Amino acid sequence: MKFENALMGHSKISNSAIHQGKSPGVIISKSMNVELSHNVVTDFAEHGVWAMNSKNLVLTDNWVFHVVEQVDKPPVMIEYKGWKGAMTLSEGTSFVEARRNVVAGSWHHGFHFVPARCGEANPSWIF
Amino acid sequence: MGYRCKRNGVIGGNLGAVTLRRIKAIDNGLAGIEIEKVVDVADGIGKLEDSLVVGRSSQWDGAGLSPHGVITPRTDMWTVSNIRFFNFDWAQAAALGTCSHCYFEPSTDSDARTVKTERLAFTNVNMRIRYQYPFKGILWDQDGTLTNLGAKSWATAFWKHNAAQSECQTDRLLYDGIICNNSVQVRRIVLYGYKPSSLDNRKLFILPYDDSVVSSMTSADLLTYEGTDTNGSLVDWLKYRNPEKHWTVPYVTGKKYYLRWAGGLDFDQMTVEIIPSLWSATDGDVEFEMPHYDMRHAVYVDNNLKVRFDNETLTWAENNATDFTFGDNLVRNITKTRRINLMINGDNKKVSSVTLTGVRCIWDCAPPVPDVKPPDPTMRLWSRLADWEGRATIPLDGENVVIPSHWNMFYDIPVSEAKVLRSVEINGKLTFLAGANRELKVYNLWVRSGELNIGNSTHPFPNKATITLQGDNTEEFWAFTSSIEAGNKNLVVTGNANLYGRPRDQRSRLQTTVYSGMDTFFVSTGLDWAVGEQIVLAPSNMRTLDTDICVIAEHSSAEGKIRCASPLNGYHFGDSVSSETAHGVDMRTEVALLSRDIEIGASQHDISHSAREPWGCRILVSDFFEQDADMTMRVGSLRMDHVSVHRCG
Repeated sequence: MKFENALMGHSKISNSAIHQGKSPGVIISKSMNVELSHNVVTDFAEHGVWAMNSKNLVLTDNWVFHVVEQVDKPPVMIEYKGWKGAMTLSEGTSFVEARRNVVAGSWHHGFHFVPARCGEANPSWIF
Repeated sequence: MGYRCKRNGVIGGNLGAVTLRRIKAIDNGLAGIEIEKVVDVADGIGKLEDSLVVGRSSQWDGAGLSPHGVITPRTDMWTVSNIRFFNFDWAQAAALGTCSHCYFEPSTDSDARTVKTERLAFTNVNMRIRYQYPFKGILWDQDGTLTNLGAKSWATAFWKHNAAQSECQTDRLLYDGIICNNSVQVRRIVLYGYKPSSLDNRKLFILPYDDSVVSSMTSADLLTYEGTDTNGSLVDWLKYRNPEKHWTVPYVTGKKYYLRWAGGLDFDQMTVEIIPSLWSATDGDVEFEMPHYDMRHAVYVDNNLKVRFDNETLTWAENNATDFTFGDNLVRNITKTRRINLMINGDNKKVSSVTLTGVRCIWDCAPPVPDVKPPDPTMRLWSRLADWEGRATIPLDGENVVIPSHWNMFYDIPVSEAKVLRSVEINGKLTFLAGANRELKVYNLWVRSGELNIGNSTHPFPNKATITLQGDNTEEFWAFTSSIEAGNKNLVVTGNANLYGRPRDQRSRLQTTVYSGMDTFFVSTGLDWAVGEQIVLAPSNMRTLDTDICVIAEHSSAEGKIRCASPLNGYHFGDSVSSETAHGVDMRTEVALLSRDIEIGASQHDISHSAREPWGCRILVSDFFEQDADMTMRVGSLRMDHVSVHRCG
């Protein structure tokens, strides 16, 4: 599931199960006003939930399990790159509320937060 | 003379204009003579000549070792001339080896390097060549003394796409690969500089694809041929080096090859590189035919001199019977035949690379929303022909369906009568009618300017609703804007989608510990979970991959007892009492329901010739500007509550 350049609307995914894919579970890219609440995200590759270059996000009470490097390949620790893991907020993502989330069974990191610098310009959204 | 050394009798590295002459190397453990690397010299300047290499003498039995006589450099531009090899007659001992030190990551190379040989003599030699990692060397025999195929013949490592050529023969024992006569050439071609990064680690599949191979095949036979990995070469993606992240391999020239990547992945960008100084004007061209599945209204073809080629120059050149240029191409964007053909040669010594950049759409990807009218609240039923205005039937299998902007359509088709639609574009309102289970089967579902409703926040959908997205990894790719990849098998929301399922008891903690092999455990009592539904159990120890998914075979809500359809693999800690009070954290395994009454999933029977497994679905939420006169902005909003998204991604 991907939010890309979803800027002017408002999306809320709640009480839902997002499961058993072969690539990232939820990607929020260059988007705003997305809420993930009380969901279970399980059995994905590279990322469970990955927010990048985004703003005004609410991530509460989500469970994220079993995120591996690649579905068809035994995982290897040395291949960590690109902030892969269960829940990642990176690359200028700002104004995020993340509370009471649980991650487990991620081959690389559980949570990885890479906050924007103070005064950092907004990301370069498409348009 | 260098003899009885543990590693090399003689080794040279970073050689410039150097000639190694009149060397005698005998009984050495790794190689008699090894040339690691050649730098900054033209072809023919660096040379090893007039030397003698003995694998083992009567003073040494070679036990436990398999040395090379000469290991050639991991660079081009080296000549091995007038060398006599004696006694390489045991184990894997071989006269020639390639790609010095490539087995070692800090010094490795992409290989497929060309070394010239001449005036070689072999006495008591079982293996003339044993290629070294990454097993791609090219030896150009100037006088036929290596291959016995005459002057200007070739030896190269074994790759199926080359071995299949009629000018070449395979001899794994003597040559550890193939040898080719002088009517063809063997040249290094590198693919790198790609986007997206999801191509990392993917194998490149290469098939011989000359007309003589494929023209007599039926369409079905051709699909099978293209889809069978064992028909061609599988080239590993390598991270290192010269360049980094590449697929490099030798190609027999004058041939056409079919190239695709594992999983049927498309490239958005790819650079094709040669070393033009190694190619002669008389070399045959190499043609690549590469399938693509995403839309490509155009492919920008730019060479390293910043010259951009028009598309379709390959056709133009054929029609005009002119010579081909490295960069001539043909782009076919018809849904059933999406291919990029590229011609490669070294005719222009200044052109070393061509970069292909895919363009999904030029200006508008989708025509404007037709017939915009004010909303008409009249309830239309999908099953009622009169509500479709002018159609002879309600939508049938394979149709593209558009819900106009003023329509208020209710989807009331029974599950058993659901058609498999090619696409549904919603510009008005489409609502799943409550009262029965519903299933919408469609390749691409686009909530464009309209609204998709399955239940609402105050009245969740009371029945089961399923959206099953169809297609394999080759079908029905499309785009709504050039800048965002929509892909295929997708639900794209640039309007409003509201999906509200019946609230479920979705979470519990494990009440009893589960060990690997057990199928029964206890969770909280009173849960509404049902037989056939799926639950997930998180891992609860240091074994990261211990997550288990259980299909419920038996559930006693009153007892909290669950039996799974098959035993669990991992360990999961459980207890009837939470440890939160005592220790501040509840250590019991999380157990969550995965099934819901609204389900968005991927069809599982769609298996293509290039990915032998079902292809996942996608959900994309996005804003974009229509390319109409007003540049109307579409705003995507997705609201989902108690929905299962399964096998997407």
